[in-house]
This record gives sequence, structure tokens and C-alpha cells, in this order.
Amino acid sequence: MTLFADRELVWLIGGILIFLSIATVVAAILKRRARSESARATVDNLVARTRAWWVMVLVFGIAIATGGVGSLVMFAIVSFLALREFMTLLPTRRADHRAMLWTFFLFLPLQYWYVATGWYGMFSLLIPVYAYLLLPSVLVLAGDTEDFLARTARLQWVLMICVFCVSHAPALLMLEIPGYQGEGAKLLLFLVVVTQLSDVLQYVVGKLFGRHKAVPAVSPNKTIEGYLGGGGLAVLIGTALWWATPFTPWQAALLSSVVVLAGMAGGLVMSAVKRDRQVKDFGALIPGHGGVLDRIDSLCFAAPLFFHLTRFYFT
Amino acid sequence: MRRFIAHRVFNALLIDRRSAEGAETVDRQRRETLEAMTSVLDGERSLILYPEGTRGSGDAVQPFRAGLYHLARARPGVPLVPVYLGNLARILPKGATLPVPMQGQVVFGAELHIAIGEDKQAFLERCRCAVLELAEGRQ
Repeated sequence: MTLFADRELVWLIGGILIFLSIATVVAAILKRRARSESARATVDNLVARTRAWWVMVLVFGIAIATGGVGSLVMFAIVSFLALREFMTLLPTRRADHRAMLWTFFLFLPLQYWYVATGWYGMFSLLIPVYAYLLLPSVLVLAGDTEDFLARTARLQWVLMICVFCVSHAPALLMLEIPGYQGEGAKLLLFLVVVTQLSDVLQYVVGKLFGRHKAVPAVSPNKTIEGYLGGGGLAVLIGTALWWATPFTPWQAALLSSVVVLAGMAGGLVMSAVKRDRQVKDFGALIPGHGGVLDRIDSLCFAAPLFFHLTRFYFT
Repeated sequence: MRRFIAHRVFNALLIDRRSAEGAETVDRQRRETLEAMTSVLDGERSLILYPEGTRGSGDAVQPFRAGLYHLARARPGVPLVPVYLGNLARILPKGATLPVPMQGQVVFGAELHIAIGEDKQAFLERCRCAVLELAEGRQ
């Protein structure tokens, strides 16, 4: 397996496992000490989240260990599940049926096919150009003009978020960075670790020290303390991981900041979408977390930025 | 193929739905249908009924057909559990061949019984309302 050939990759994965073990022990201790009703609910959620993290790390670990194909298949499945959750919430009409089928069975596989073959041009154009024009064309042929612009825009938007944006994460593997050939898995791991740690630390810092609500109209649980503390810590950890990337410490700090900020924007935007559709979560697939889309909302926004910045400055 | 799916996959009870002519044949067809259903229930097995009789546009729950009433009267002791199936018309609308892989939803309600001497329309409407309540109560 390629997994153990790379020392740095072993360190990264080992670090994640240690971090998760500590979290599991802390959650178990907190569970014993929780007395009040609300504390118990919070801790139960924490335990469920930690448990789900083990499963997610296992799945992602296997995907990374099997090399490019594994990561690609895993992200394609993630895109599929996210698309499925998002589409379920959309107010669609009978006439949208064919266009919806196209998003699932044509554009999604095709997008990942272009990632797999490393055809950068089509990877970047398929959804923003071809799908963008084809979807309204398919819709208009169905002959229903009611709410037409909104229906078109919704389909384009979910396809962009769930397929186009997400596919930028495994696309990191197709970047050819001088002196870093064949090490793209660490870049992908770096992105995922920073976005997910940022989410986790924002949650933890917010729960511990959160006083001032940041955006009460959109997401009542987000606090200024959580954003600054959690985001800051995630940038620090991202910087400290520079050795696993093609970046210098300063570059790693800058890129981590972009990833963290984009992730915050993503989380907030998707919260607004949930609010708009009057649901709390996108799904219930991941215990304690909600749906797949609840888990990857920050990644959706961070992945394309991280991909293009890395591609522009390092290839 | 259809036969295999109906029998082996869905374990369906096939019913003759050809429109019969003449009062006598109609009567006989109804009796046979009812007997087929009650014999399943008498065998300690459950039946899943789609009382709308067909698939609609998904916008509303259609009026219920009378078969449910006749079956309930024939076996008043058997509990009727209302079930609401959500999102199905969007996943596979009438006339479409491929389903969009969205999430569906199944909501179960509290069991119902037919009351002694309950009017047919009143009973069917009560059952329909039970399903509607599940539709509104979801999420």
C-alpha cells in the first residue's frame, strides 16, 4: 500500500487518530460528570459526534490509502449523497424531473470522470458552462414556464455546490507540483483536516467560551468567540502542518486562513439555506452531525479556493 | 418479469381491476376481491392498501376508495394503521420511468378502527384526515 511509503502521510493520519482518541476520552469523562438536563443533551450529542468521526476517519482513511481511485470514488459518493439531500429540500415541479435526472446521472459522473482523467479544461467547464446552459434547455422543453427562472437557478446552484465545488477536493490529486509529485493525498488531507478542525474547534470554543452571538438571524449557535478562537486555532494547526505540504510555514498560514474563512462563509450560507427551507439539518445520515451536507458545508466553499490558489501559485 | 416482481419482491395480492359489466358480475367481482383480502388477514398476515386507488400528482391526498370501508367492515377487529408516504411524486412522478434518487419519507400514525354503524363517507374521510395529519405533522 502507498499509505505507509510516505512518512509524512503516516504522521498526519497518526495525528488524527491521536486527536480523536483524546476527544473520545474527554467525551467519556464529560459524560460521567454531566448532571443537568441540558448538559446531558450536549454531551450525548458530543459522544455521538465523536463516534461518527471515527467512522468518517475510517472511511476517509481507506479512501486515501487506496490512492487516487479511492478518494475519487469516495468524493463522488459524498457528492451524490449531498445532491440527494439538497434536492429533497427543493420545491420542484413535475417538469423538473428530467433535468433532475441529468444532474444525478449525467453531470455528476461526468464531472468525476474528468477529475479521474485529469482533463482540467472540461473539469472546470462542464458544470459552469455546459450544465449551466443545458439544464434550462432541458427544462424549457418540458414546457412549464411557471417559476422558470427560480427552478433553473435552484438546479444550477445545487449542482455547483454539491458536485462542482466538492469535486475540487479530489482534484487536488491531479495537480502537478514540482518536487511534490505523487504526494497529492497529503494536500487533500491538509485541506480536509483544516476545514473539519476549524468546524470542530469553532464548535468547542463556542460551547466553552461563547458569549456574543455572531449572526443570530442566521445561525443562533455561532458566536464571535467560537469564530475567532476556533478559526484562529485551526489556522495555527494548519500552519504547523506545513511540513506535509509544498508550502512554507507562511504560505501554509495564509492558505489555512483562506480555507478557514471560506469554510465559515460556507457554513453560514448553508445555514441560511436550511433556514429558508425551514429544516434544522439536511439529513440524518451521520449521527450527531445531521446530513452529509451539514458536514461538508465548509468544504464546499473552501475546496475550490484552495485548489485554485494552489494551482495558480505552485504549479 | 412484472409477475415475478409483483409476487416475489412485493408479495402482492393481485386483484382483477377490469371493469365488469352487469350488476351481477360487478357484485361477484367485488365479493371475490373482498374474500381474497380477508383470507390474507385471517391468515394472521398484514395487508398494505393504497386507498387512493391510483397515483396522483402528489399535490394532495385524493379521496379514498370504498374498498377500505368494505374491508374494515368485514374485519372490524383488525387495526388500521395510517401511513403517509412523502416525496414519492417527486421521486417518480406518474408517467416517468427513472426515479430521481431523492429521500422519501414514511410516517406511521396511531391505529384506527371502524366504529359500529359508522357511515361509509364519514369513515373514509376520517381515514383520509388521519393520513393528512401525518403529512402536516412531518418534520
